[in-house]
Amino acid sequence: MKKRLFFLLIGICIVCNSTSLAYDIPTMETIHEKAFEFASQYPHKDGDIEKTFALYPDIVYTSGIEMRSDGVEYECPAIYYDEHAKYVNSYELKKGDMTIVVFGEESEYSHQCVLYNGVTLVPSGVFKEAGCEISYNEELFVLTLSKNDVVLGIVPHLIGMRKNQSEGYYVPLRACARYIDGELYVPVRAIAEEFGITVGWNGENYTVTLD
Amino acid sequence: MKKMNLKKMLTMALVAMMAISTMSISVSAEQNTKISTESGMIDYSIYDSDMVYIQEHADMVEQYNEQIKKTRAMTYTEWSWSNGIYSRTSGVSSGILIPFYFIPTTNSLYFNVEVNGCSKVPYMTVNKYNSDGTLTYVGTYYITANGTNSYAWSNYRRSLTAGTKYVFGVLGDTNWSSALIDIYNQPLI
Repeated sequence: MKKRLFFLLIGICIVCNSTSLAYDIPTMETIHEKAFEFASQYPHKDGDIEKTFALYPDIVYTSGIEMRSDGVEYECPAIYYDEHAKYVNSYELKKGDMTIVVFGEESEYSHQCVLYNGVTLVPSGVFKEAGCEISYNEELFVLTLSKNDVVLGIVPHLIGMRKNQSEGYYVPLRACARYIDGELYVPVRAIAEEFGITVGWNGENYTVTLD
Repeated sequence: MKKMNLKKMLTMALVAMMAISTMSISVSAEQNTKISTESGMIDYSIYDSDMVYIQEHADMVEQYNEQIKKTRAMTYTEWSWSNGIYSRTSGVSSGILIPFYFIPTTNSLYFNVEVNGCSKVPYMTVNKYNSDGTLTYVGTYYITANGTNSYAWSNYRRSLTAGTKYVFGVLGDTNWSSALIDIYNQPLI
């Protein structure tokens, strides 16, 4: 009887521990470390940063030139920490009861939008519905979206996304990608426009359209 | 008798482990509980992943609040590059708050930073200075380690939007032994 109780308890403990792991979210320290690892893959080329400023003059952006252990320089955008944002301005993160329509069809992610300081974030799966290929690097926490000749590398909390990887540059973001309830949310307009998808907003019926 | 006691102890330890595991589930569930509803919108700020992070660093909340008060209490004036390099040293402190905003004339500014006696990695925050005197946070950089409890940048280039007004702060934990910051708009040769 005691033996049975013993094994039953072990079983319960295993189940409980595996369930709590399902809530595991990378810490900001890990995100920070992996963001630099991601950025270090792309050696800095003269003109990359100037391209960012020339193409997106209205978005306030900042990045640093870092150096790998082998002496190769690379650019890494700054990282957005919510608790640092709170030093100077309260940030607003709200779940919006908005409908998402992708190429005329209501998205399965409808009513899952989030507003961050006025920027609409959506679950990354919306872009699969918009015809993008999606892959997620679980080791570096990098979401890659691609369609036609455009490839975007998105790292949560990095204030720029890498466009076209080794031959590319960073697209500055007004609001970065972030994990919400274990899911990766991304800024819908900034990404859609890089793929040539038009983003519409109907304020009367709270509908975001991708066409 | 000894054998029985061992079994009993083992069983008790397992029960305790089970209780801890169950507790961690209930905490996670609490973090995901919706707490308030507005018309059409749901307050989401309590249970997103960032709040989980903040909860994990609850020891720093008081420090953050103090920094908010200090930052909001500050007024900023424009740093004129005709004065050359902005330079400031600080003694025992937990950060350097700079009462100036800086306007890059090109898309770069350069920094020398040195912080000693800091047990946690200090960082520099970048904020945009708005026309109404408020700040908008842009992002954070951590200062590079330069020995035990010592962190430094030397002639470190940051890309910034030319013509935009920026406010910088170097922050970290308490009781730094010394700190300095230089900000300039041309690389030092």
